[in-house]
Amino acid sequence: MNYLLFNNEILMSDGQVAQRMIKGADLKACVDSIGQARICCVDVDVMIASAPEDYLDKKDNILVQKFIEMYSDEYITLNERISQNIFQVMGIKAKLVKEIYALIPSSKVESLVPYAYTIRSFLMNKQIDMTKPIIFVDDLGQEKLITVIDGLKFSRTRTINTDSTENILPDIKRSYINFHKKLGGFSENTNSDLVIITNNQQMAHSIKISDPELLVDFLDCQYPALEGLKYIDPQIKYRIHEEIIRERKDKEWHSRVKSFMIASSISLLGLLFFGFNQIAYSLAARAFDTEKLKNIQLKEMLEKMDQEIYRDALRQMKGVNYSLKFFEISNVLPSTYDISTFKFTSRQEHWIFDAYLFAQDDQFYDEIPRIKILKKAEIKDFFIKDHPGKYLKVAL
Amino acid sequence: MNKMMIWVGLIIAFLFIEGALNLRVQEQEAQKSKDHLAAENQRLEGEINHKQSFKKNEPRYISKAFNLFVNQMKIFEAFSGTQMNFSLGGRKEKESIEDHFVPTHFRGVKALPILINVQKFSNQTDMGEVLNDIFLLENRTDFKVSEISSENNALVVKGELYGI
Repeated sequence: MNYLLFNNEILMSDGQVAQRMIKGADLKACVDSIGQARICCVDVDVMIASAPEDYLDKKDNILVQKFIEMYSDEYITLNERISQNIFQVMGIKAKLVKEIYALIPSSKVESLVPYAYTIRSFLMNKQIDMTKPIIFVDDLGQEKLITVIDGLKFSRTRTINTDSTENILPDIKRSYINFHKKLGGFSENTNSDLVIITNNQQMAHSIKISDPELLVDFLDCQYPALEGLKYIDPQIKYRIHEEIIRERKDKEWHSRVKSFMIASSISLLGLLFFGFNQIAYSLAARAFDTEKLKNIQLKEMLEKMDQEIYRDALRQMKGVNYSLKFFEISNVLPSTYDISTFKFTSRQEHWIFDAYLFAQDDQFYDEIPRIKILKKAEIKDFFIKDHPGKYLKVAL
Repeated sequence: MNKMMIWVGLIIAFLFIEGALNLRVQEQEAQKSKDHLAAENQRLEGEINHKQSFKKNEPRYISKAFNLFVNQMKIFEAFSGTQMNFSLGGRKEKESIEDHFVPTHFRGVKALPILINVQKFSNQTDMGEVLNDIFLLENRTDFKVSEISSENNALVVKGELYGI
């Protein structure tokens, strides 16, 4: 991980060794070799504003609107919650953000935060009492960076170009007064003791001599902002509008691809189900066609066969000699009976002979003997045309 | 857009499922019909096996069978002298025998229903001769008697003449 501080000049550290780079042609070649980076930027405008925190979109719009009213240039802003409905809005000029990203691609930048934000993280990490207003003076050699921190709130960082460490106190006090003016109604620690912290021991000593009542502290850290970058929330990052649009488009594209995949999968499942049933139906239809073809062939074969065998079948079905059977029955019947009516009827496998017999007027009503062909005959008594008679049924 | 894609996917899937369910119904029907046909084919095969036992003859056209039948009737009339009337059961004065063809249980074979009416028997001996003639008629032609009934000295023979 690399840590960079963007101001008039650029400080870069690999976590161990820091180096100073001047903006120019060689810078691009130098930063091309770096991997992931966390960057802080000094030129950040800050304001405290109120907005309803329950409605996220509305809140962001209100804060951006208020920021634009105060700073007319084109800014990219971030905001953080200070207290209920109170937010700190931190804006970097869009031009500067584009310049940074032109130098280091956005994909390599893990986070891009205000310089004051990293100083605050640094102080918190050093367990400095943050209940009192702090003025942090960062000695970068030719440049002195003055940042006022009051709890979570911080000021715009002022850059003082001076080598001297002795005459800086008026600038420090001016920064503090300006900060409180700007805070206005959002100021809390107006009466608290002011603490000046610097990373230059000589400067701390000079300030103490200039105003013995001031609380002055020395922190032994050459580049506190680069150190503070190690402890920041890595998710905070200024992003240019084009990148947001590109990301949104990417997100939309991914979302569309995902939806397309889901829709395709659903359709595919339906298609698979359809395909499975189509195959099952095809197999069943093929089996049916085979049976149907076989059925047609069998029927044709049977028709040909029926035409060839029907005469033989008829011959086998024609069973009885009617005349012979008639006389067989007549000969067994007593002579006292006359056959009134008779009938030969064909039943599937055999013939039935049935007849009505009546006794002659001058003859006895005799018993019909159950012999020979009449052994199993069905014989019933009847009245035929006012004469007693018999019904006879014989299976031939 | 995304929701629309998913909806379109769902609609397409629904159409496929609808089609698949219709296919499933058709498949079940095809399966049922196939089973039914398979059973019928089995029955037909059994019938063919059974019919293998019959002697094969050259099939006879029904017009030829009718000629033989009529001539045989005329021979019986000439020998026994008994008037044997026969009809097709129609009521028109002129009619084609083709109008009276009926299907039979033999495939490709049709039948012509015929009603033979013999009247005025003098005695039972006459009756026996007529019955014998009917028996001979059956054996010499493709006529098959289904019923013979007598009442008041009249004999009615119902039967069918077979042919292709």
